[in-house]
Amino acid sequence: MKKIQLGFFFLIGLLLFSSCQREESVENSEINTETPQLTSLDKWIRENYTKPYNIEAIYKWNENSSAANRYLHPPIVDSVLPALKAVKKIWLDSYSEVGGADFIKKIAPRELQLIGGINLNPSGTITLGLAEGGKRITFFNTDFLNVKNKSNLIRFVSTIQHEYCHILNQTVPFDEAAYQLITPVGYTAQWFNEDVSSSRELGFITDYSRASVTEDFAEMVNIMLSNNNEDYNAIIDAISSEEARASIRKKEALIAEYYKSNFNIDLYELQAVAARNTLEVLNN
Amino acid sequence: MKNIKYIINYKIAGLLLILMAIFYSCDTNEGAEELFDDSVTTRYNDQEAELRDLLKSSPEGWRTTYFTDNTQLGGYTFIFKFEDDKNVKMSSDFDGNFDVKTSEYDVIIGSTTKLSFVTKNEIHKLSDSNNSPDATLRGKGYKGDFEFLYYGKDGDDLIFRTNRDFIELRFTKAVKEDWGKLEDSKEMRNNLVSNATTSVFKLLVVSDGTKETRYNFNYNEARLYANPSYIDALGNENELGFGIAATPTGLLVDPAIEIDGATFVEFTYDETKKQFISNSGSQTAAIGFFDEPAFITSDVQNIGTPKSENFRYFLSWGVNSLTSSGFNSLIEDINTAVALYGFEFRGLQFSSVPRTDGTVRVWVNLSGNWLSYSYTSEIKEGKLFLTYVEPANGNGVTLEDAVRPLLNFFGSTKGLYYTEEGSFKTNTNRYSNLSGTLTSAESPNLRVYGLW
Repeated sequence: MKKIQLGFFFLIGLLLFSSCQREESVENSEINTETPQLTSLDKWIRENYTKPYNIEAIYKWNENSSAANRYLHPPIVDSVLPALKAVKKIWLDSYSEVGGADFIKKIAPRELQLIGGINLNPSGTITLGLAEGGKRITFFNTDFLNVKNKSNLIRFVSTIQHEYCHILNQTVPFDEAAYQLITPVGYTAQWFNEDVSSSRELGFITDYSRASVTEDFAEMVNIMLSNNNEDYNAIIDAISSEEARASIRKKEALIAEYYKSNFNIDLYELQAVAARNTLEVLNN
Repeated sequence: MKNIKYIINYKIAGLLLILMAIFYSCDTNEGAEELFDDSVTTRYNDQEAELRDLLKSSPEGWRTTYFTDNTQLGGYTFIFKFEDDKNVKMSSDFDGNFDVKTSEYDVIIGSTTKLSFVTKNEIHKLSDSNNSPDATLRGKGYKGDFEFLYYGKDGDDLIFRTNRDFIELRFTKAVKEDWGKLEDSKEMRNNLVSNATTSVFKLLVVSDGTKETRYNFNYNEARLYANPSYIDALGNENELGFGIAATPTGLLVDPAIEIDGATFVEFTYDETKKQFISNSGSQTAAIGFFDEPAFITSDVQNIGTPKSENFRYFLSWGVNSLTSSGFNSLIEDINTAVALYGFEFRGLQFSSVPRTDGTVRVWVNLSGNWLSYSYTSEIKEGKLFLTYVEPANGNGVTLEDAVRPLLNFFGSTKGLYYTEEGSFKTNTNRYSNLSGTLTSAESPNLRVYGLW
């Protein structure tokens, strides 16, 4: 009786197994896996940003990369290469030279996004750049970049000098409490109602510095890396308040120490290299 | 025995269960009914390929008129020529630049198959935060989009909806001549723009031969948008709203104008009448410049009453657009004429209260000197009629010919329309005084805004 039962269940097991057998075999993917057509610009980006630094430079529109309620547009193709070359020379190459070839490879935004036009807010303020979670940095005004015009060039590149400083801060925080003690009053959410010169007289390097301690830090770095040492000193020396000058110099010292002890970067050397690279972009 | 019977029954039941399992395990219907022959991916791929092929199929490209928001903005025409799977040539009537430029496009999967213009070209001018028609739309540009979801074909046309606002767009096959006609559309827009010679009465007039409804057109040139209004017999104000897109031969409105069962969409420009005309059944709609206003108010009856005795207009008070460019150029002409005497025009006054001899006065101020002229005055047919008599002071005699255009304005043989406009305001001043306009019925390009 037991033998019969065993044989019976074996037979049924076999039936069950064979009943699920399908004839179909795995075929090629239905998804288009062809290599995309790359233009010479795409190849340049791949060779100069993506392969060496794992940074994607996005210039074609992607609706997911911009807020749906903003009226922005992609850049003119011809304005992309000069912009990316300038950013690479002045920001990326400068940090690589002073911080080491791997510096940017380790700490960097993974995406640079270029937007063609000006990002004018309904309030009337203009957003020059955006950094999202240290992952993506967005440049606006790409179509208006003139790499032969110093102030225009510096304004464009300052987006990444400022935002990259935030990324460094997110990697290694600075002593915000100590920094804030230098100019404890003067920070304001209404920074856009202030102007640069009166802000400097209070010990803030720009009007936007007054937004918060972290913005102040990033603006200090931005102004230092946007000017050679001589021009930077001239900005400080032009401030009439002795106390304000001293405050800015104290901030500068904290920042230089932050760069040196955490990243082994001499901020003044970085300033000199960035100034030299800026001149190269302007003159070539 | 009983127990054995139960055991057998259990076996039979177990066997049935197993057979059922076998039966169901072989059922290839896995729950849902197959609605399509192909997989989702295949269908997406097919639709993408279909759209790419269609876009490239029109030898002269595709033309579309895009109304970005028909509650507040007009439309512009674009022509796209899809060169290959990457490049598109484009031109539009958006601004004065008709150069054909090349940029990149892509057909990708969004919420459905989507045509995306991925690098900058003409279409992106509608989506530039820094280029809005006015301050109210600051930061929003012309509210345009450049990503269009593909909704299939309608005859030879391609139907899209904009990605952001789901506004329907129809791509029609372009012909070679369309590219050159974009300039004509742009020019056509000027036929709705007031200038020194056009009447100040810009109207929409709908008529069926017997009944006529006259709307003040209330046109915003920067937005290409009209809010025509009229006051019905009960005194209620009725307002329409539609955007305008110029065509080489006239204009299109969106949404369609629907009045008394008639629908008007396409208007043709009549060069002689200086009006855009559209027919629907027995009804005709005309948009353009007319010699008479949409309606005449009873405001003119207030002239000469205590609150409306002396009407003044002075250049130093600032600018209000109710003073027409035709009137401004009349003042320029007078300035040229009086410059010979070393004077400049400063302002004028119309004193409406009759003197003992029954006449009224028009005063002209040249460099602080008053010139005085007498007129007879009458209010009839809803208008103010002033008839010129003679100069009323010595200055007036000397400079009569130099200021003649102004004297003729007041002396309009068809009278003057008068409308009250609330308290006085210009670009530089606001006064609580009542303001109003005087318009020549003889030369309806001349209108002056002043205060009492």
